[in-house]
Amino acid sequence: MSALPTGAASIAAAVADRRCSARSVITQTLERIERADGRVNAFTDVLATRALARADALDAALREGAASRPLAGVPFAVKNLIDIEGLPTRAGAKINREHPPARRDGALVRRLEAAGAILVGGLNMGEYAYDFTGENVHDGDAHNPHALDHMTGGSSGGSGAALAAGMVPLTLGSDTNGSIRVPAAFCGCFGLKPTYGRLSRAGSFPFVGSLDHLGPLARSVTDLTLAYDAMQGPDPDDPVATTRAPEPVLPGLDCGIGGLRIAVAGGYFARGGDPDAFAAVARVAEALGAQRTVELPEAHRARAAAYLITAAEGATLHLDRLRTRPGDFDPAVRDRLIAGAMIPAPFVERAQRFRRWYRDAVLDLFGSVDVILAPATPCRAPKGGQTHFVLDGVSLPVRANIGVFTQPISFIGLPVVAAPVWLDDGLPLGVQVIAAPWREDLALRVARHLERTGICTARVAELT
Amino acid sequence: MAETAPVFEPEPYITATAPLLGLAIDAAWTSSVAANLRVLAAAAALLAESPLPELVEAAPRFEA
Repeated sequence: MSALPTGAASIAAAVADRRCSARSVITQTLERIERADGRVNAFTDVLATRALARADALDAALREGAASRPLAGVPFAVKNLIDIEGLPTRAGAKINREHPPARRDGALVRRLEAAGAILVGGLNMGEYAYDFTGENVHDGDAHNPHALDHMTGGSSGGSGAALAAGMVPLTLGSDTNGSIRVPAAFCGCFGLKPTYGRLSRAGSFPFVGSLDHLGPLARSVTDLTLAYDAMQGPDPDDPVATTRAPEPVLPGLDCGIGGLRIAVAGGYFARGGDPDAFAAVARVAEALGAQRTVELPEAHRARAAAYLITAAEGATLHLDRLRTRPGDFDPAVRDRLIAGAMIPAPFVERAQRFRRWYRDAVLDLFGSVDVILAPATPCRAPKGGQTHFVLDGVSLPVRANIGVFTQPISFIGLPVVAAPVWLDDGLPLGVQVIAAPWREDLALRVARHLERTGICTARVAELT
Repeated sequence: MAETAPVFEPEPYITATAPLLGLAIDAAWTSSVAANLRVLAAAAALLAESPLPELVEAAPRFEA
């Protein structure tokens, strides 16, 4: 048999046409995970028995004439804060491993499987998602497949690494302050952080309720969009899920960028990073013919406000655990959460009031532009274990500063595609393609144009 | 002339606040918690410097 397809769309087409079986796809996937994961450490759980059973059921249904589904036979894996039936939802934490097994899969897992996809495992992540590095003291660090001694980025580190290592074509992550966009950038794949409330978070372990998003990562924009379309729709089990009907993007994905007003974020987003980060944005802007610059007002304060709200809400969530099990946390996470618990209430209230003001100010910008470009991270992936980096001549802690360019965007729930750029033979960078609320279609269309023109591509690492 | 604002000292603040929150802070963690508190205090100061209309309402349950 010839080599099996490796992209989600091509797998689904091949399985639907019976050119290959879902079992052969899943078997190949499990073999790839077996070969590669010892070096990458992307997976915390591999669900071979379950996945093969689902594959056999799908093959049987197709043999009996069942209608094909858009993700038929597509293997995928999810950040381990998303419920998987029969497993405790560990959320990267030692403490959570003592939780009872989840009684059913998270909402997005169910929606992807309803579209024919097949879950093959749970993925490594930073503890309780309070992380930008992909490092985890309990499960071991995820390693960047493009340079194993470098960070994957986090907190959805396994979600980026599993794609870059070619183990699966599709993963799910969560993004509170940048946790989909950072690993997408560092691992050189595409990631979608949808509008706040667009995709259900039901059946996932929270971090900061007013900032948490779930979303897909993939090696192609088409695959990203296929998954996004399959997961849309209201969900009464998530109190902030939109009541909007699904708005499928795939039919218009290849409409191009004609008529779109695209600008580059200046000011805050044009300083405080390595020159490479801005070179990546410039390359994308040139390819899109984007000459205008816009300034998101007070973005540095937006980041500060996001930082405060994250620490306070996160600490509130974990306060009982901090009281009773402080020694079982990752010390770096614990000490940030303890500090967060001690923030005076007026500081948090002011951050929330600022949030309202900032949202209105940024939404005004979208009266004159459709898409805004900004760096995803201030640099390429740091080395594993690196604690400080130098940005603009200033030495800064890595953990607290990887998200400087992602935080002001997710703070007000804007949809973003992180698109990978390879400036040279080194590690990739990411560019944020940002749209107005509920306009994921525009961000995905622009990303697809960049992919089609070869400006943004995802690569599978050789892992030699 | 305005009086100089008192300097924030995280360590005594931690000592005073921990019992209120029911937290037992190991002495070995104090410097790390204090470092995090300094970062949070700087973020709060940055926000305090910005003029914000008094009638802007908070967004505790955010909607995009």
